[in-house]
Amino acid sequence: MKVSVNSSALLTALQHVHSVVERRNTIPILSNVLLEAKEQGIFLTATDMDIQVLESIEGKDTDITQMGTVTTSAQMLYDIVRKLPANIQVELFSESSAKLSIKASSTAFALNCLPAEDFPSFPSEDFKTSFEIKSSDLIRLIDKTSFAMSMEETRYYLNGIYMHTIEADGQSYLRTVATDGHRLARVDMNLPEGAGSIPGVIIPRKTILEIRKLLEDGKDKVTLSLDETRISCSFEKVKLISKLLDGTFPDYTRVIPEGNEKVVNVSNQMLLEAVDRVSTVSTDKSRAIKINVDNDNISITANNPDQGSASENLAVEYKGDRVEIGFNSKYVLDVARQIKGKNMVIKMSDPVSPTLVFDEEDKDALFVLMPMRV
Amino acid sequence: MGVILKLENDLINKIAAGEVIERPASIVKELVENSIDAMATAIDIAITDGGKTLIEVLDNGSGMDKEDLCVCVNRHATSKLSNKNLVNINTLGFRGEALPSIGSVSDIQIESIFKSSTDSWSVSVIDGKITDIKPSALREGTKVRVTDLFYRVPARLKFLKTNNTEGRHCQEIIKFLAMSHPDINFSFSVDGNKKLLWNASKLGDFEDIKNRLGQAMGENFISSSVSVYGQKDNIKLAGMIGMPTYNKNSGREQYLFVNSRPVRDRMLMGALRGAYRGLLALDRFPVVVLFIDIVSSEVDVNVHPTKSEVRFKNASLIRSMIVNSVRSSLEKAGVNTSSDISDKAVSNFSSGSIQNYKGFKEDNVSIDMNFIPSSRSNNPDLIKEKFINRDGYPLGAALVQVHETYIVSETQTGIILIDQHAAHERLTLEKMRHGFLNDNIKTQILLIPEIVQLKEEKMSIILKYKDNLKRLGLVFDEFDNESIAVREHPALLNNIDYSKLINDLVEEIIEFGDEFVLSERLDSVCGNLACHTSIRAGRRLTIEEMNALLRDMENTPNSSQCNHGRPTFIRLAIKDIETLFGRS
Repeated sequence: MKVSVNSSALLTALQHVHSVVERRNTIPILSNVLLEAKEQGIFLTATDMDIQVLESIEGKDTDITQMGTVTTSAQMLYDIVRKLPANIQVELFSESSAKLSIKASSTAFALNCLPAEDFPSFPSEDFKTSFEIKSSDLIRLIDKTSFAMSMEETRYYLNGIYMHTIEADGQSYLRTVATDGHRLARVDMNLPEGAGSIPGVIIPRKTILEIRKLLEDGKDKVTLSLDETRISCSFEKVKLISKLLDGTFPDYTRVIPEGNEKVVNVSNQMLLEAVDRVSTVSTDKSRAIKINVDNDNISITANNPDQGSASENLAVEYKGDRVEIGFNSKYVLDVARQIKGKNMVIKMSDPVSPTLVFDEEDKDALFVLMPMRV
Repeated sequence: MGVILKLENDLINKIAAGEVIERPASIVKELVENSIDAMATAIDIAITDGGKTLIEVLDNGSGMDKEDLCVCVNRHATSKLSNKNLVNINTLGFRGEALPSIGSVSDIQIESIFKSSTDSWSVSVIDGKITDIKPSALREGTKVRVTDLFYRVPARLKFLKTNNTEGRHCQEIIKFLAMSHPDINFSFSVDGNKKLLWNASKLGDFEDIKNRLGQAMGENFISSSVSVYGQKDNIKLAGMIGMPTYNKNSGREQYLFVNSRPVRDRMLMGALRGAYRGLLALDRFPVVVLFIDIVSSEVDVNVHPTKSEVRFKNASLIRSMIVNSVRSSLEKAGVNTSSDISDKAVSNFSSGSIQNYKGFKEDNVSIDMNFIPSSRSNNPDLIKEKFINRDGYPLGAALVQVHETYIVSETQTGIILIDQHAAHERLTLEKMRHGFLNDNIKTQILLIPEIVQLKEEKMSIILKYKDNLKRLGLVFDEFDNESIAVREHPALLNNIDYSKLINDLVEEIIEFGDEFVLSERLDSVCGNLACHTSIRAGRRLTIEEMNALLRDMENTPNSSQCNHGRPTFIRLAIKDIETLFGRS
């Protein structure tokens, strides 16, 4: 293999692919990135056996002198290219599959390689359905739910986001849901064209985070392809393919209450700051606070027998019965941070039943918080 | 058919021997128990070659006449079950298995004289048959000689360990039996050399036991332990329990007695584990001698051929008594660490010698003029005020911090070295635990209840403990016949593997009759937090801070050991220091 490539283009591609590589591996080749020099350009691939990211560098950024394939340490190559000056020509050359030499201006590296034929390959074609979605829409579906994904290994089917379609009032929606058993987040959007026949799938946590990183680059639209076991997300020269979580997402609709009638509408920013301030005294692991709503007033209190207590009052419009509910302050803050509108709508019932939270300006996003018995 | 045959007597005895006679120590146990049951006040035990060649037990007990002597080696012959039932058993033996079992695996010679008689007789059992009945010269009690152990069961013989090891096992069993009988003189010789001689004392009640424990366990144990006492209904509890800092890596040195009968009972050991919870690391065990006296109808000793296990009618009462009395004794003990530690410390000191001594030369002497931080040295009066009067404080007055890790304090009778991190960590944990127990426990309610599948027998157990677990913050109810729905969990715990937790809980309840797992998990979360919020080694402390720490330790229960059972301080008596300098 012998190619010449623009250092900045190479860096962008490596940034995308190397983050999927696990830091520690028992199979050495999984630490490597696969470099393929073909007629059209250079193809970089990295995988952790669950997710594979493939990116190509084509056109004026590359100059292929001799085709070939090689694998070398993804992290090392990324660190090297990162330290090179921008927009210079980098020459990649390997005679056998044992060494890759990298030359740029007056610097030279020689990296050890592993045989390319050992690099695991992923079936990347033949998805059942495929649809286009605006990047901003996908970001919304991910951001407003991903904070609620579970980290706990035993209920593995909660370690991701559940994406599926629903019908409501004659309208079709694409929906994402995540829960860790303590809180739940659910977001809807109008069904994108072509997404009507997608199966309900659970997208794993790491895949969600990787897709979110790729979306940072501000492309307009991405293509999602799905079947029962795989998902792919691609735009322009990047393509991510991931396995899906094999499991059944619990019937979450049953835990979303209908009749919560104690409703307050409160400035999201003010509530967020108040909870943040008050929870300062709640230093133990449970970080408990209480939210008390009564007579045009919402008060947030925390009590720590060793260190003291705190309270903050916010004026709201509320004439209903007095209600006081304990929460993990972190959960309240997580939700408040995902509310982009000015006001948050809180719908409460009693101290042991789920509380609902809405974004006043985005009624298609819904959050459920389970109280804490304080 | 004639396929099923009734076993011959000799074979039956050998089978019984397999259960009862495992090694020489088992024979020693059976024989010494017989002597104790015969009301002996002196028992001499001698073994040769670890007991493989000879075991001899001589007592001054009530003895047997010629007729009894011939019957006693028969199977199921006993003098100890006169009232024909198994309810009130007040003797150590009762099954009538010991002598015939021993006789089936070795040769025995028994000499005995009945207490009101003048004729003493001797009988031998050779090859399992009674032979050679003849007059003997014995003047008091009974003498049993067991020779050539296991010569008829070569397989067993092969499994025996070295003479030394077998001898040690014999000594251990004698120690065990002697502890509960401080009114009997014990002597033990190995290959003709006297290994131990423990005389009975007449100091009254508990002092006798203490004296015997001193003989059996060593004075170290006495000075590193506190006495424990408890009484409820018909149950009496007494003993000596080691300070948590005097711990061992196995539970072997937990000597438990039920009505003076040595037992190794899992339920009792579990209760001890519960009592020492949070004071010891999980892989360390306390040293304990505990006597439980209970009406014999309340306990079943006929569970195990060697009677090492017992069953109590009201096991949970016994358990709670043990946990409560041990806990309160340890808490009352206050600031005390085992003397064993300071002994170890003293033995580690070596008299100093200066290497490469060059004489007083100018360049050897350097004075660092800046060694006192100016802010502390400005006002000499202020410095003086910082030092408090040492008298009246068990942990004395702090003098100085060394290596920014240890505090040296002076007491009336010596000096104390304190590990500042270990000490503070303990204080933080005790405070946290206190707040945690007195506070209503916070629970996170689950949005989606977690269903845990359980086998039917486990279901009934976990449901019985529903209220106890609710108090600790784990709330669940019955979902169907073989699963429960967990609805709330302690807010302190996160990422719980419910199925594992619940199953662990059931296992613990079955084994120890208590729900240690959950409280242990909560404790360990507290422990981790305590570790992170405590002052570390390497932090410089002022005299005031050091004294405050000492006063806090004096007022906090269990402050003598850190969360892992290591000591938080050691005491060096002035007399130990004088010994080091050869001034005593």
